[in-house]
Amino acid sequence: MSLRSIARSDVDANLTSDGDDVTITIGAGVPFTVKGKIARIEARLDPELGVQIFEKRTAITVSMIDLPSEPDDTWEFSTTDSEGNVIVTQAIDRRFDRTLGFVTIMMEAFE
Amino acid sequence: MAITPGTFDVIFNSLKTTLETYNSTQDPSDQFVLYADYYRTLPSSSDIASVFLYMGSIVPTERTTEGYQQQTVTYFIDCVVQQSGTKTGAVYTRADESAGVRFRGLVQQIFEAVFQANNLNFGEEIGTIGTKELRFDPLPPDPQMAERVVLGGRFTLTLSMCWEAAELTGVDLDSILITADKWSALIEP
Repeated sequence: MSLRSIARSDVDANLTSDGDDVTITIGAGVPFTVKGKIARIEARLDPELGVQIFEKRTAITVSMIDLPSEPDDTWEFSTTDSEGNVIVTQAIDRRFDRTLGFVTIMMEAFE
Repeated sequence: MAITPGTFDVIFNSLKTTLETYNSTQDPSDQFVLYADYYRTLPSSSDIASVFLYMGSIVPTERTTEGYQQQTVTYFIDCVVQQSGTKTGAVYTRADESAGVRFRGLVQQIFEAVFQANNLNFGEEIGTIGTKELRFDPLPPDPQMAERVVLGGRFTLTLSMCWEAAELTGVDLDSILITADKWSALIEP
């Protein structure tokens, strides 16, 4: 097994075995659920001023093999954070790792 | 001795009252949250529109004397909008697009509040304020990937007003004594 295969296997194990449920809805299609990593933070530091900016940020990482196509801005994601809050979000940006086969999607909340 | 508020301080409070009064006339969904003298980090609230009022500089103009100063005083009115996206049926409106609409609306509200035809002097006597200028500068948006988009900008309100030293305290002048002999002696040839 090559080093890349081992790394890919590790990523899959982390995302699926230890991941949380992420429900994806594409347009008017039927929602489906995959496993993924959810990173949701409350605040960050302004790099110029050093002050805390309270703004929630959510990023969801899923294995690309679980997706029917590359995600775009129309995809809707819903999941639950560590406090049990249900988050319904829209994808606004994506970061692909085409070596290990996962994608991290930046989320935007909507009302 | 207690501090007597200067004109710049009095105007600060009346400006705050003016903004509060104007805000109360707006629809609840269009109201903003006003903070005066808020020097901490942005509040971690779910409010969409926030307005922060601070005092700025005091700069003398050329029309000054030893005991009188004509000055321009600036106040900062910072505006912050934090907005989520909105979805109506299948139509999605991005958070930055929604934030931009609210942000322009907030700017319009501040202009309306500061330039009210029936309250040009913020409730103070006519003549307290000489000239009034309101300038707006948006902050460059942060291309962040947050759940809610944050837009901010600063109004600089420049007012001209006068400042005079407090009157001297002591015994009032009752009379002036003139010695006629001395006076006549001086002016006679």
